[in-house]
This record gives sequence, structure tokens and C-alpha cells, in this order.
Amino acid sequence: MDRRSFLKTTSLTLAAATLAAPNILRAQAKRFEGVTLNINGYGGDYDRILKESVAKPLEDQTGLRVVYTPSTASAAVARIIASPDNPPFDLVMCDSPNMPDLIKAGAITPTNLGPDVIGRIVPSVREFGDYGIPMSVASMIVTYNKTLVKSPLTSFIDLARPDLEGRVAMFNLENSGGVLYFLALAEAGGGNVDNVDPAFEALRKIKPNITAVTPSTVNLLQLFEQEEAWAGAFWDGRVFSMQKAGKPMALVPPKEGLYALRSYVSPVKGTKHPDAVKAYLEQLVTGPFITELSRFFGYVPTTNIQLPPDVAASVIPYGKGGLESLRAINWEKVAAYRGDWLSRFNREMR
Amino acid sequence: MDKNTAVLTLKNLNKTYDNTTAVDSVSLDVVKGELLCLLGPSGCGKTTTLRMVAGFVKPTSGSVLIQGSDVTNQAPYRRDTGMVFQSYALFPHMTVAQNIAFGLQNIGFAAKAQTERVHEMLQLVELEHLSKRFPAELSGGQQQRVALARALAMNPAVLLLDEPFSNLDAQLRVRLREDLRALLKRIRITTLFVTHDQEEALMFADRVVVMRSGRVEQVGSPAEIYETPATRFVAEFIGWCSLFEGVVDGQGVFTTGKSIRLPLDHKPGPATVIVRPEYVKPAEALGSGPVFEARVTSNTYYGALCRLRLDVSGQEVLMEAHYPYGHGPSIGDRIEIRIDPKGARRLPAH
Amino acid sequence: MRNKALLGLRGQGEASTAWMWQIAPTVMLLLFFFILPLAGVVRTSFYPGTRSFGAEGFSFEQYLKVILDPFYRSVLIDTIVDGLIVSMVCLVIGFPVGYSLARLPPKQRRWRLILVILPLTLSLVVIVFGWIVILGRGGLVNQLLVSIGAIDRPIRLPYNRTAVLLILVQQFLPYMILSVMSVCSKIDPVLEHAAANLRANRFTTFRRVIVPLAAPGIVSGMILVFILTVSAFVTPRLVGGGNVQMLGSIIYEQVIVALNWPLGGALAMVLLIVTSIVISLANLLAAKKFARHRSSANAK
Ligand SMILES: Nc1ncnc2c1ncn2[C@@H]1O[C@H](COP(=O)(O)OP(=O)(O)OP(=O)(O)O)[C@@H](O)[C@H]1O
Ligand SMILES: [Mg+2]
Repeated sequence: MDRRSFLKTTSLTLAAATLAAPNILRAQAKRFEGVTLNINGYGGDYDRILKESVAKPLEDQTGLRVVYTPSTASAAVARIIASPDNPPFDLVMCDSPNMPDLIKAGAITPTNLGPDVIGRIVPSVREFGDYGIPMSVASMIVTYNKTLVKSPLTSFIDLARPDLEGRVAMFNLENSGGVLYFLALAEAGGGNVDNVDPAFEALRKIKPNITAVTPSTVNLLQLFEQEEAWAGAFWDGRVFSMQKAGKPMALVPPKEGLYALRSYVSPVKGTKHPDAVKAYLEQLVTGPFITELSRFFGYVPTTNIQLPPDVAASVIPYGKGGLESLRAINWEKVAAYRGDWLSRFNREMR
Repeated sequence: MDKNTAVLTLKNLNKTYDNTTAVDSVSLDVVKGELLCLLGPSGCGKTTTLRMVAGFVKPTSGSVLIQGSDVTNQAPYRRDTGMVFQSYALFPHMTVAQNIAFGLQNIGFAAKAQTERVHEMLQLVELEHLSKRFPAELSGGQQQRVALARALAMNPAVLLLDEPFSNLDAQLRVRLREDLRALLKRIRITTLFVTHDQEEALMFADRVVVMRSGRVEQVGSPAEIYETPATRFVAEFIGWCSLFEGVVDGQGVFTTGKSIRLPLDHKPGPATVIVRPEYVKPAEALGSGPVFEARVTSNTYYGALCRLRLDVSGQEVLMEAHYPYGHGPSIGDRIEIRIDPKGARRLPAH
Repeated sequence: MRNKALLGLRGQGEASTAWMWQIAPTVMLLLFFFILPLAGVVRTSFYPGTRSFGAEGFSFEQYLKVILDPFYRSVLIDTIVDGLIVSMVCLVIGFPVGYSLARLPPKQRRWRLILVILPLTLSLVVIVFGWIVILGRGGLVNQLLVSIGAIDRPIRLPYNRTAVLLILVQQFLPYMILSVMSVCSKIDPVLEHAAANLRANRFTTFRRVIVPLAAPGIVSGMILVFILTVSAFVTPRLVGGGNVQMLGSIIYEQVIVALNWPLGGALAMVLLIVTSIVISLANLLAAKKFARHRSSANAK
């Protein structure tokens, strides 16, 4: 029996049991009947897995309805900050770079989950203390088309190699993925978050090779799939699924180190259903969601859950240290500098 | 008719739309300075014929000759015709003077010559004082005169007028009609003119072409058309008339089954005879002619005269009579009438 | 109702409220959807620093940054030039289409009109990715060029200014077509016959009769396309490949990604002002050129 059909059976049994139970019990079980939680969505398979392994079981047990509205995380964050008195969402899903502003603007609240739940989360993944539940980790890695690029690439700066002229594609700094390789280039060149000149220096070397920079993940995927680009920096999860689909793309943890961001889900300040929000977060951490995410995307789990052997075998390798090997990033400073970096990137890469 | 002086010649002109024949083998000659009128009921193909002359409609077969040269396949803007449209078609964004100068510019008039010609035309139609007005600031009659001046300025070989009076009120129509006829005669321009108003055709034209569903029914001077219609259709379309079906005997007497007897010196045989209402008079008003007893079935007062429908032993007879100081007989009255035998016309057999 | 409103203007108590009630919805609509948000943007653009939440004070910092920085200046100029190019190209392609649609009988016009409007119902992102596929090395355009022998090997077509402008033209062409069509369908076709009858060839008729009468539609269509182009941000970001900078995408990045609303607001205000100036100039030019026609319309 695979996990999904197991889930189905369980929820069916549960539903049947609920129906058969005496009235009082049923009233207690359906404690969120009529309550709807609004959450922004990431779209695609991520939302599908959320619906199947968080929203669906929760609705079956408690009657809670969850509505996902796909948009970019940045746009959702901007909307929440813009309307503090009447937030459009009860929970917000966003990435590490968005968190400092949400916290500073007072737009999200600490998660307030019990230690039994919080304790399951890998400590090094929690970048913002009590704020946000990390759902997954995505890293920037080096990728290249193994049939078209003869000698292997091992680092981001390898993208400046002369044989790649006009064949490199990567994110610009509008996409947070761009910020990751950018920081990697800065620190590898002796700089840091306060001094990114080495990163721009490296980019100048890579520039002649660049066929396109883009803020869009789908766009970048297209560039690699159409072989318009042969090499670049990309999300580990996306390269993983290209490999699964049979594309000869290499997935190389770069010599500069692993720079990653976390995707968090956080309660929005001013939600009318704090109890439902809490129940949602608990289900997310303790339910099948983390496992299903690893199964589909190959993400390393953010909790201490024991993955089934088949899933564990296909998770993206992070080397010996696992999540502990990820470089720490000062996201507050990134948020403060991002606007300037964007302008400078735009004018230098134009 | 002298072929050499024909300014406009139509030879076997045909126009067929998908399944309707709009114009059917029309052949015509219009001589220099002549006012020729196309007359017929709505939809009989008058406008289509005019448009084929101007070149806006391409004939299905047949040819159009202007001053002896075949222009059937010539573009409209090369043809030497001047058209006054039913809606006048003045350019709304040009002043009166600019409207008139428009055509002159297209045939290469120098600026000074243009001004002179425009002025001359405005004088001709007596609109000098309105030269700077825009069409929207003119009355219907003034617009018509601008349209005429605009066409005449080009000194075209043939002037084409499509129902030029139909947008004017009755009084203005009568006055402008007379003025226009005088003007056209004065400048001796060859004119093809379209109307469905028989009165207009009779008073305006030198020669009238009566059309019926695309075909020419009769061509002749207004008097010929009125007095000696070639067909029953023409007789009925042009004015009022009584229609008698009967036979002519060997003695030259025409009788209908319904007791109308008139002397008629035509060859014996079945005959259709028409009598215009002005040849029927109250018995006392006409010195000679057979007397009939009639019952009045309707009497319409027209001021100077009355139009009566009479019943002569079951045969309808129409009469136009002058009854001084009154309205004449009432419905149901029995009166005696005479029919002037010289006014009885036998229609040609077909 | 109307009379009442007029009376209201003369100061009769009860009627004057009626008049106010009549315009109230329009005023509210404008206030809520235009003036208030705009006022918000204006206020934000005068904050110092890089964040608007928690910000205080009043400063010209952002505007100075925008005006003194040659990068923003050159992007602004590029954006305006792009707007002019796209609206000109849309006019050149859109006019014949709009005009011929206007001259078709309604029955034949219907499905062609649907074809014109259809792209407007598609998501912009779908259109843009569709174009990237079509322009890709394995895409339709490259295959065609190779098969007719224009090029030996597929070439890179997207990710440059030409591609961005091409896709913007495709997106905004329907607006131009509709604008031209609506004005041309009001031009009586008999005027063209009249012109031909006055010895004007097709070109003269077009230049001296159709264009002046279609001018309002041409101007409004061009202004519409211009505004849409200078404020575009999806297409330049996705198709520009980083080489093509337009102000819309820079504003988007500052507002959405960097959350630097003061700078984004200032950039937006500068774009708004420059766009308004360009539009006013266009209107003035058009008004001058077709002043006589307009004056007659006013006199009527
Ligand atoms: N473009 C066209 N397509 C199809 N049929 C047409 C077209 N133009 C005219 N017809 C048909 O040809 C016939 C003649 O039309 P035409 O306009 O010449 O009539 P008309 O004598 O001018 O009538 P009216 O006095 O009403 O103006 C009509 O039956 C009309 O329906
Ligand atoms: Mg007609």
C-alpha cells in the first residue's frame, strides 16, 4: 500500500467513524466547521501536496476549509504589508528574504506552537527564532548539460569559463535564487554581505557567457530544456526533477558552498482564526506533508521525521553535514541592501 | 437620335448580385446638354445604374462610354463624372470652400486658379457668404448646393444626381428643383438624374427613362411618357388613370363588358385603354362625348381640384375636376360624366 | 431629473442635494480607485530611507536619486522611445486591419473581431512563454528561417529589445485595432466615393479624408498603446533577458521585491509625469493639426 492510498483509507475510516460517533463527539471533532483559512499559494505541485497532505486531512477531521491563492510570495508579502488592518491572508508562505520585513512591519506573529511540535524541527533551519515554520529548503547549485558541456563544472565562478560563451543562464537579483549565488560569489571573492564588490567583479567575468538572466523560474527551466542555455545556477529541486524526467542535467553542489533559503509559513497578524491557524501548522509539521515534499521534490526534510527508505534514498545529497552545512545568511542585511543590489545589477548586466 | 453627339452611352448594361438582378440590359444615350431622368419605384436599379456610370459598381456585363471612350474598366477617380450624392457626402472636416477646392487640387489647379474657380462656383450657387462654414453649420438646401458646386467645379462631362431633392422639405424641393433646372440648362451640362418621384421627373427632365425591376420600360419625353405610356406599368406609375379592358369592333367602337363605350379608331381586336382623369369631366363641363351615369365612391379635395373615384356600372373611373366654391359631390351621389374620346389611349399589345 | 439638477445649480435647497447625489457615485469611484491610491503613492515617494512602514518625515531624497542618476534617466528615455515605437508600429499594422474591419458587413466582421479580441482574454504570462517557445532555437520562426535558407543554423531570437518590442506590439495591437475600427465605422463610406468622384486616388483619399476623420481614434489608440507600453513590466522582465531595461520592471522590482516603496513611488511619479507630458504634447499636436475640424464640432 503506498502512502497516498494509505492516507485515503485512513481519512475514509476516520470520516466513517466520525459519522458513526455520537453527536457530542462529532460536534467536538468538527470544531472548525464553517471556518475558512486563506493562504497565498506557490502554485503547481507544491500547492497540490499541501492540499493533499495538510488541507484535506484537516478538513476531514475538523471541517476547516483552506483556500490557496497562487501568486508570487513577494506580491503576497507586499499585499500584507500594504493592508495591515485588513490582511488578505490568515497565513503567509514566503521565503527567507521576505521574513525580516514581515517581522519588522509587525505583519506576522510568532508561531506559538508547543515544544512537542517545535521540537521536531531541525534547529539549524529555524533562522528567525519563533517566527515562521520552515517547510522546505532550496539551494542554489551549479548545473550544466552533460551532453553539451564536456568538462564538468564545480563552482559558480566556473560559469565564466570561455567554452561557455553565450551559453549561461541564471536568475537576476529579483529572484531570491539570484541573491544566493550572488552572496556565494561575494564571500568566495573575499567579500561579505556588506561588501559585494567581489560578486560584481565575478559577474563581470561571467557576463560575456550569459545568454539571458531572468527573474522567472519557469523561464530559466525553459532555457535549459530548450538547450538555449547549457549551464547556469539553478534550484536544486528543479534540477532534480529535470533529472527524473531524463534530462542530462548535472546537479553540482558548488565549491563556494551551499547557499539556501527556507520556505516558511507564518501566521498573519490580525487573523480572525488563531486556533485554526495553529491547527493548520501542527498538521503541517506532524502530518505526512514533509515526507510527501521529500518524495516529490527530493527536498531534505526540515523535521526529524524518519523518511521511508525509498524516499530517503532519492533525497538531494547535501554532503556529509546535511542541513548543518548550509551557509548562514544575514537576511536582515540582505533585505536592507536588496534594492541597491538590484539597481546595480540592472545597470551592470544591461 | 444622333449617336455622334452622345456624351454618355450605356450598352447592354447588366448588374447581378448573388441572386438578384439589379440592372438588366440597360442601353441608353444621353446627348450633350440633355437632362435625362431615371425614374422607377424603389429597388428598380436606378442607383446601381448611376453607380456603374460613376465607376463605384462594376457591371456584370455591358459597357459604359463617356464621350465615345469605353470607361467600363476605368477606376472611378479617372472618370469624367461629377456626382451629387443623395446624402450630399460633404467632407465634414473641410469648409465649404475647401470642399469645393478638394477636387480642383486633385486635377492640378494652381492655388490662384483654385480660389477663382471656388469663388465662381459659390457665386453660381449663391453661397459666397458661407464659404468659411463647415457642412454641419449649413441647412439641408445649402448643403445640397455646396455638393452641386463641388461637382460642377470639376466641369465634368456628365453630372450625376442621385435623388438630389429627397432630403429636403416639400416647399424647398419645388423651388430648388426649378432653380436647379434653370442653372443646369444655362451651363448646358449633360445630366443623368435619378428619382422615384414621377412629378419631379416630368417637370425636370428633357427625357425620362422609366425602369422596372432593372429593365427599361419606356424612354421618352415627359409628355410622351405621360400621354402615351407604352405599358400598363408606366401608365399606372406615372400619375393616375382609369384602365379599361375590352374590345374594339369593326366600326371603331371600344366596349368593355361593363358598359363603357368609346369611339376609338384603331384596328379591331381586344384592347387595354387608359384615360387620364383630366379627360373625364362632369357632363356639363364638356361639350361633347358620351355621357355615363356614375356613383361617387370617394372624393379627395386637393384645393384647386378634386379627385374622385367613380363607379360606372361596376367599372372604376377616375376623374379630376374643378368645383368652384366647394367640394363637389359627396360619396354615394349619382352624377353624370363625359369621357373625352381624344384622351383615351390604347396601350400597345404585348 | 436633469432639470432638477440645473435648478440645483441656481441654488434651490432640495434640488441641490439631488444634483450632488447624481455625481456622488462618480466622485466616490474616482476617489477610491484613483485619487486615494495616487495620494498614497505621492506621500510614500516623499519618505526618506528605503522603507515606508515606520517611516516619518518629508524629503526629496528619492526624487534627487532618480533625477541625478544617469541610469534611471537613460532607462526613462529608453522606455519613452519604446512607447513611441510600439505605438507607431501598432498604428501602421493596426490601421489597415481596423479600417478593413470597419468596412466589413457585421456578419463577416463578427468572427474576425473575435480573433482580434481573443489574445486579450489570455493570461499575459501564457502569451509571453508562448512567444519564447515560438522564438526559441527549435521554435517555429527559426525552423521557417532555416527552411527558406535565410539562416544556416537556428539563431537566438528572444532576450533582446526587438523581441520585447515585438511581443509588446502583439499584446497591444488589439487596442489599436479596436480604437481605429470604432472611429472608422463612423466614417460614411460614401465620403470615399465622393473623394474618388472628385479625382482623388486611393492615397489622397486616405490622406485627406480618412486620416483626418479617423484622427481621434488614431490619437486615442496611440495614447492607449503608449501608456500600456511604458508601464509594461512582465514582458521586459521575461523576454528582455536582462539586457532590456524598462521603467515598469524597475518599479516592479523596487516595490515588490525590494519593498523600497519610497524609491518605487518616486520612480512611478516621474513616469506618470513624463507620460502625462508626452500625452499632452500628442494631444496638442493633434489638436493643432485638426483644429478646424474640431472647432466645427464644437460650434455645432
Ligand atoms: N450591394 C448590393 N448587394 C446586393 N444587392 C444589392 C446591392 N445594391 C443594390 N442591390 C439590390 O439591387 C436592386 C437595385 O438597387 P438600387 O439601389 O439600384 O435601387 P434604386 O432603384 O436606387 O432604389 P431606391 O429608389 O430605393 O434608391 C435592389 O433590389 C437592391 O436590393
Ligand atoms: Mg437609390
